Amino acid sequence: MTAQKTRKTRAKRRPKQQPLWARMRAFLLRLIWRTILWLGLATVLLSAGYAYYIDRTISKTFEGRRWSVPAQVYAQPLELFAGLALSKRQFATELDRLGYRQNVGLDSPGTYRLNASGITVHLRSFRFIDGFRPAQTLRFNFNRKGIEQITELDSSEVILVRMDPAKIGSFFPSHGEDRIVLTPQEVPNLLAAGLKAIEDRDFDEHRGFSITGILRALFVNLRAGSARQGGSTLTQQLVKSYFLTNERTLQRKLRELAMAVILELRFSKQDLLTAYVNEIFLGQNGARAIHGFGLGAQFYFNKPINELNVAEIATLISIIRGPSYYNPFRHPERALSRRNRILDTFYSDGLIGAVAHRQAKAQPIGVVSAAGRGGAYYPAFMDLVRSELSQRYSNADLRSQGLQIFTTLDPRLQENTQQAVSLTLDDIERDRKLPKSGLQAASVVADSQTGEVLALVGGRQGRVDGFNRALNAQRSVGSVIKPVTVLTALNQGMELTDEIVDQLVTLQQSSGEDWAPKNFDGKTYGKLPIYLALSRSLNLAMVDLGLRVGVENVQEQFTTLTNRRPNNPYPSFLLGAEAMSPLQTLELYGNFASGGFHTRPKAVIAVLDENGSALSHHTFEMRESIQMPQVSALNKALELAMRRGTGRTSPFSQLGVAGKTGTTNDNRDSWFAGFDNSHLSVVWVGRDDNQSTGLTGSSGALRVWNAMARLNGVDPIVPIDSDALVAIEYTSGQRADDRCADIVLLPVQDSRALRIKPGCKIKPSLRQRLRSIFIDE
Amino acid sequence: MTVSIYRSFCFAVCLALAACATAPTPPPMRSEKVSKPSVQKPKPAQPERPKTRTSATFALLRDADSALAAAQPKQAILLLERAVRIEPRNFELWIRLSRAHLASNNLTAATQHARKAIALADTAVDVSSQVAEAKAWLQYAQVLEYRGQKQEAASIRQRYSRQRG
Repeated sequence: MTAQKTRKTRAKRRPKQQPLWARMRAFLLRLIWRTILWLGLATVLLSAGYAYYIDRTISKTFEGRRWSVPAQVYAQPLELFAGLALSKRQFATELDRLGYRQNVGLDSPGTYRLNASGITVHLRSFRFIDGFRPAQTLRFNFNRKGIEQITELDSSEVILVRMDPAKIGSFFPSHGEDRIVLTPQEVPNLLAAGLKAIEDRDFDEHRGFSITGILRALFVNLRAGSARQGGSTLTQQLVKSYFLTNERTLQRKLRELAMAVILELRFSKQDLLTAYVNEIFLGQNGARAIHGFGLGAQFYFNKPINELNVAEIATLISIIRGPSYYNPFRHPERALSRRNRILDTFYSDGLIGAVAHRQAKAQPIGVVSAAGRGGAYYPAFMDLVRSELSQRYSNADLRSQGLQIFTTLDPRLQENTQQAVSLTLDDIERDRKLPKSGLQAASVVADSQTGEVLALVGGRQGRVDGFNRALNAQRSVGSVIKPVTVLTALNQGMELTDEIVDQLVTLQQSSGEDWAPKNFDGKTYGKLPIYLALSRSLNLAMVDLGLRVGVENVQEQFTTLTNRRPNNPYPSFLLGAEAMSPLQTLELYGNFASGGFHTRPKAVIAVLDENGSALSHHTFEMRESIQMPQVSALNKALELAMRRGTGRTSPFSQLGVAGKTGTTNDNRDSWFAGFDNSHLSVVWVGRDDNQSTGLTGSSGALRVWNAMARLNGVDPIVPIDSDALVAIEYTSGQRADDRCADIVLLPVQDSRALRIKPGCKIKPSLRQRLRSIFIDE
Repeated sequence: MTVSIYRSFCFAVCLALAACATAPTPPPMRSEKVSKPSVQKPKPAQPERPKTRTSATFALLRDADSALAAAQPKQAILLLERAVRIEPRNFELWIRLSRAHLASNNLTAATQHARKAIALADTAVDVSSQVAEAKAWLQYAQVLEYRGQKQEAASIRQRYSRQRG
């Protein structure tokens, strides 16, 4: 009995024992639930953290990008005054270039009216480096020479007027990116509506992504059998452009969705659309990407966005889908077909009327090819601006908002120079039956006195942004370097008329190899004066002169003129076996053109911050590098090289210009560096693969310069006072006069030391008489 | 014997000529009169009516002079550089630029711009090259004086003050 009671008590105390499998199941269930709970909690926390991180990151980036005000870059303004040689037609062209519109009423700034006697202009206000110029209306009267008079409306005379400068670009200087940023007000209504119609119908309703959009795209694509429509919203495209790569993974798509949703939550639809308009990728111009419709309008149509017509807006929208596939330059028919489909959508959605639809569809694609594109887009010059900014300004300065950068560019000169380069290369290739587009060229033009770069062409297609040869092509300069040797001789007391010897020479180089230079024609010319050797560009005579004055002294002279050590320490340096860029060559010749002053080529005049205060102003910087008598003599010799020597084939050679041609081994490089009273120019012609062109300096680069001179005009060098010049027989270097010899006038320090040409009735000095006695003996 | 005497004579003359030979000299002085070197600190540039090729640059010159008189050399430099872009070879503009840089204590630029004015003086169109040269040299003398090279400055002043007219 007791034992039975005891068993019952135990049974009560101990719960009913579950089978093992049941206990295991319960345990597992508990574990799973707890794991799910913790994992869920962790996921929620991680997601929240990730969302917070994304939110912070993209909001910061978006705010930064959206509100960044890019630097505005300006060309030199046109200065107008009575007496300026600018015709009425040229002035009207300048006004058009600056975006002034013809308007009879002149009711707003930026308008002009053509009259019988001249042009009346309602000038825009502008804040220049040295002060603010308010808007004003002025009358310009012209005569046959140019501007005759400038008056205000009350007929009071105005002495000097400065036009507002052409805007040649806007970019973020800290990272050097080109962008023409539009404000929401500047985005044309048709562009905004068209983008929504073509790219994202539900843009105004969705919250970053659109299920209906995805389904619609799926349906369209399935029906068409190919990917015709994308499912991404404008916001997703914007996210992709801002933050993501083009990889097609689920992870990237999820990030894109999350970011799009966050952007939609944080910013207004208008902000997002404007950002899209300024951001979207529209093509590639050489090395530089074309982002945004502002730059796209300029790149494809050479117009500001507000001047695009219906067809052009449709073309730009058509490019978004595939900037390469629908590239209107390379695939015009494909682009035209898509543009017309877009115009149909515009019409069916009621964005345009029937007439506009019909007219727009009748228009050709209308993109302006790179070669013929005008307008204020000068990527090669902008490279120089960027390079100078990075050298002279701190990153902190460059990150400032709304900078105004005033540059030295002369748009008219720039376009003329580009045109001269492009057309002359076409002509040379045609005349010499060279393969088409094989030649390349670069050119730089500067003010001869200040060293300010007025035009810079980096290749034959000026508005294609690619390799900038003017800045970056390092090519042997050939005979262009010879004036450095002559200058060294002059600085050592030699005269232009001193004799040197043009004879074969073999020099042993430090490598042990022999160096045996030759003249271009393979002949030798014996004794001859220095100026004649320079004029005819005789290699052997120049080597003789270089060895007389010392190669190391010539190199020292080169350093004085360029602020850099030569790369080639050997005598071959004397014949231009030294690689230089056209800009460096310009720096060298700037010493001669300026009358003996070294100036560093300059593109940026000043940078103002958004308050109009100068971050810095680069005043003219120069250093006297050559004494007056020596530079006068050298320049006279260079003038002679044009009149009588290798430059004589130029139609402008007799007008008073100085210059030197250069040709390198196997005709790989053709150079010309020359100047008149106002401008210094350097031209290089060659091939990118460094193969022979068959061109000499005269038949290549000089020909380009001729075309430049034809378009820009020539301002003859002011002649030296004739009292300081001595008549010399050109071929012998002896004193003579025009009755007994073919003479040239040259500055000679001591004319008494010169030999007199036999037969010329020139009274010899005592020294000459004594000398003749000794010579006779 | 006669030949030998003749040769000796020629040789002696040659030696004498060689002994007389000197390095190239600066342009001849108009006046040899020596005046007492000036030791006073140069006076600030006096605005004067310059002769320029165009009335446009004159207008800028006038404004630059006003800016300089109002102790605004930076503004004067901006205006003068604008004028130089219109007329780069006008020596008078470079003289004024030198003065403006002197006023802003930029002695390097003041020196180089004065040298530039000297280099351009012989192509002056509105005044004789001698007057232009004198004006440019006198500006250079002023810069030298600021640099403490008073002896050289005085020597230049002596040489050119009369030519300036």
